[in-house]
Amino acid sequence: MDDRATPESVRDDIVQFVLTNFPTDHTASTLPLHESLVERGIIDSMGVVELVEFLEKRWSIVIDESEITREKMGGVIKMANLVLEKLGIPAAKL
Amino acid sequence: METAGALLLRKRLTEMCGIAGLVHANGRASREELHRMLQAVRHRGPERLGGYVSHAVALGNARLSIVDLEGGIQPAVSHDPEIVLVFNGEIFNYWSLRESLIAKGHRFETRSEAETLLRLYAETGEEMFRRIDGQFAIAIWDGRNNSLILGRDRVGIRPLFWFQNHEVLAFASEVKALFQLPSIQRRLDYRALVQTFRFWTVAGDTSGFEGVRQVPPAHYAVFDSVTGSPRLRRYWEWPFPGDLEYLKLANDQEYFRLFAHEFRESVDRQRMADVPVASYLSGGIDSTVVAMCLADLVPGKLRTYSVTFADPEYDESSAQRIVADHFGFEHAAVHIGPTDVSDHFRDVVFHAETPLFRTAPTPLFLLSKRVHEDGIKVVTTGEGADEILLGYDLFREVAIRNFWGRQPQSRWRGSLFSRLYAYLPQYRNPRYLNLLLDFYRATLRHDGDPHYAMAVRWSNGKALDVFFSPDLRRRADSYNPVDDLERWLPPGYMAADDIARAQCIEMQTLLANYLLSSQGDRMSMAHAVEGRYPYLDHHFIEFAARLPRRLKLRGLKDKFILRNAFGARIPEQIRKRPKMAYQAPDLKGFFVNGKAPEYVEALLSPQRLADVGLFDEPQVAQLVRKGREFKLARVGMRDNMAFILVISTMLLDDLFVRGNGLSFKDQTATSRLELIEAGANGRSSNA
Repeated sequence: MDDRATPESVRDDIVQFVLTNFPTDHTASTLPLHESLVERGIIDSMGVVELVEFLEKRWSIVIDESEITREKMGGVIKMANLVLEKLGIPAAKL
Repeated sequence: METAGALLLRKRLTEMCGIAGLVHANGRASREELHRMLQAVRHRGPERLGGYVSHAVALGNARLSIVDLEGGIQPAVSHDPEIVLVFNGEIFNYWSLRESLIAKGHRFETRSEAETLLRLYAETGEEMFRRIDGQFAIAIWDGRNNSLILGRDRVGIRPLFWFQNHEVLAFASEVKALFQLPSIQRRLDYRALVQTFRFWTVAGDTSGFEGVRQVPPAHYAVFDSVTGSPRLRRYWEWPFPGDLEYLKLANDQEYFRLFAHEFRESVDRQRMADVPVASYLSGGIDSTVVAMCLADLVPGKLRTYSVTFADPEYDESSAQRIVADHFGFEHAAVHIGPTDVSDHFRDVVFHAETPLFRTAPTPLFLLSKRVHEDGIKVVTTGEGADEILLGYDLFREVAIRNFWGRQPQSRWRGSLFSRLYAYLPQYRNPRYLNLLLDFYRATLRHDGDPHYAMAVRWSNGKALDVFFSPDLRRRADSYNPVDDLERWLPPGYMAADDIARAQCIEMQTLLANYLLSSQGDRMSMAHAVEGRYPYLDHHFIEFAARLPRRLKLRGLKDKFILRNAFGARIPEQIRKRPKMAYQAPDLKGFFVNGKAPEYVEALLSPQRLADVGLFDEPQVAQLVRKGREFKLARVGMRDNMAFILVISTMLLDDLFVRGNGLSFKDQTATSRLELIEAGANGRSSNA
């Protein structure tokens, strides 16, 4: 478990990763948090791989095949909640 | 059946060359300016420069002398009336044209194609282009009405650019020859950038440079004055579904037999040369069939050439070896090491003269060098099969989108994408498939979009506009490149279905303006090697267009008829081999061990980016950082495209706008310009 992780820090780290790794006009304040980054065209197919690898390495977690779905990962907040769940941190309302 | 004597007569010069010329509005053309222009394209034909200079007009060509020098020298000149013609390429039916002209009373002084074309023009005028079978760029000065005519082959194999201002009208095989004229300003065309970011290539008559245009494939342009707009005429259309009566044969086997016969005929037409013809071999079925058919027609062992890669992601050497061993070809390969792409990319951009979205031309640049060193001057390739026989993923992708779109809730329908893109690890890995399908799910609504098939590619391209500088972004926001593309689409486009529309756009963009140019003519002619394209013989194109679609795309099986018509002779491993798109390392080819070459660091420095003013410095810096730090085995398509587009554009600026590529590298290799004067009855003589 990552003791330093908080709901806000997980969310912000994901946002930061997206902004610094995928070309986009969005900023931290405009990046859609509740929409699928894939469907919005913000990341491409390899971006999915990069994003999953980032989540796994950054928080030392394993994401199962059955979890790589729109329901669990279709948006920054959903991804943050998935990370928090795996870290055993109660998900606050983000 | 032709006799050996007739075949010998039919053989003629292989006209590997570049052409250039100009007409001044006021004042005289000079030998010196023509010489400079020809020097700039002398890599296309490094042994002999021929020219004609008279008053305001100069035309010339740089050619590789092979045999029959006296007969083959260009320009072809007629004195009375004054008609001067230069051309680059091959006219496959020149002998029958020549015979028909003789029957009409023409007397020939040489066996050259140039003289045949000159007399054909004198006999038929602009109608001549419809009568020519071949791959060509032709320029004609007609002194009877002081007009210049520029014409180009049907699919865009040979290049032809032109420029005009209030002083001069000039043309050339390559833009660098135009830039030898001081009155031509050298500026990148922002429209070319926006188009290439979106479509992967320029569209229509656009070139990479402001004011420089290309004669589009299957067109000729008539300039009645130096400064007036040309009359642009299309003389041939890609046969379009809807305009066609499909062939109706009894069963698949009959189609296969006819297809095999027609294709062999095409290879036979395309192999004509007075020098040995070799074949490129990729390891895929397209080039395998070409090489196999060619080997049936030529004596002795066929020589074949391939590229192999140190990076297994791109390497197809085992398939190439299977084909070469199976057919007993004399095979050679050029090996592409980790730094070869970045080491040679500057030279590649110098020859391509347009923004590039991939580095894939680079290995072909090195391959033609090797072929040239082996003394081979003509090679056949498998280019064009994917366009005319529906081989690209794009065609199957739109078929799946349409199929899935009818039942969007079906997961099985969507999962067909994993079969289509089985060569991409992210699609092979079931972990990621669910999320990837979300991307396609968002593209299923058709809404009557006339470019539905292209929507995924174009939206990926549009996403890269974030790399534009604020200034370029403003211009890009008020310019719709689709409008420019639509100007060149045929009348039947709107009535066609999504697959036929995609086929049409692929032919007009990717085929003509990348595969045949940046990756084709420009890379092979960089070393005076001429490509031949049996799938793009226009008789074969017209035949293939009349094949019912189920013979090309059956379910998700691409090029169905090609695989079956020649299947029995092709090794099973090749026939059943999953498609592998020919590519080369892009972003990661520039950051071997995290370090980029010096020229890349210099061109992508914040200062240089700001000076050029086309790209957003923070976005480029982020991409460079990603290149340095990248750990994944494979890089995403957007990152690859963005990086190659940016670095190739910055190289274009350096080489052409700043002019660092315009001085001749090897002054000692300067060729003397031989001028031809007009004689009576079309007879040419050396000055």
